[in-house]
Amino acid sequence: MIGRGAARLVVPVATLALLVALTGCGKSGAHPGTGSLGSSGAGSASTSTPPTDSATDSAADSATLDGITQDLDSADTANTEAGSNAAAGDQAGATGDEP
Amino acid sequence: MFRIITVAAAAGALTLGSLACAAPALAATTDGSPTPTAHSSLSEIQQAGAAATSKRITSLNTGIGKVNSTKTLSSADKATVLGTLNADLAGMKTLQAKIAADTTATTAWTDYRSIFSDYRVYAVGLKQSYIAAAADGLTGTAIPKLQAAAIKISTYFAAHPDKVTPELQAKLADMQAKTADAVSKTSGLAAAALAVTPAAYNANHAVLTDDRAAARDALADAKAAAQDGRAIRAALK
Repeated sequence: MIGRGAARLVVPVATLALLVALTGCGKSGAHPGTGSLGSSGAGSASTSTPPTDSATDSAADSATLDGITQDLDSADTANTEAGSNAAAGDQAGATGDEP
Repeated sequence: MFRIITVAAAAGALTLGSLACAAPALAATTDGSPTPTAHSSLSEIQQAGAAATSKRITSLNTGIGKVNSTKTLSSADKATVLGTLNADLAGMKTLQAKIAADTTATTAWTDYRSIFSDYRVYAVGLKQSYIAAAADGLTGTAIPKLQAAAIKISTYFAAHPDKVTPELQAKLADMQAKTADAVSKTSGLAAAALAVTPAAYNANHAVLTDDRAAARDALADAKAAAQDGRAIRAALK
């Protein structure tokens, strides 16, 4: 008895399952007509253009030259301080330290 | 009375932020006039002792303040310098009080001599601190920056061989050689200067002469290297 009742249900259930599978409506988040892949739509393509080699080289050169200037500035400052300290050492040494 | 020397020149030479401000630019070349002798009276020795200790306490306090604020000295050397200068300061204060309390000229004379022979605040303590500060300033900042600049210049030369003249190439070579000389002359210089003791000075008054000369020569090399770098940079428009 149970087998005959179940057999009557097989065809409609199988048909419904086929429809669900074909339309994709059984997937989580899916929408009829759009499928499950979605679309990024227009405007997704990059609009920027890669820099030219010459522009890149120019920027790199500028950075290198700036770096040289900064290094020399720092060296000059340190040299000035070292000179002041060396002079101070001379002055201290020239101060009388004898009874 | 103290004899004032080269006030304007000394003031012009000082740079804010360096230890140079601690220089005894207005210091006397003698410690009291007349300088007491072993035969001076107790009061004369006490007066001279008060002046000598007071002058050193002032110089040491100024020097300690500058050492605490300077970024020139390495942390290890700063600790060494502060240890010496603070010990000297404590010694001067002790002697100042002791000489004032002495009751005989003989004892006062012994204590007075101790101001000089046991401490050598100017000839050793402060002088070695300045030499170390100069050396550390070169090894810690000036020389590394000159080396970095030379590397950048080499990189630029390699990328633009059309801009490299024999003159520029020679200047770069000189810059590198001068920097290497500065490295050699400052190697171990601060440690050597800070290792000098009053006893070593008593035995040989020229004990810091070589260190002082090395600091001066290294500074001259570093300045020459920087000049080379400036000339090269100016040509690389």
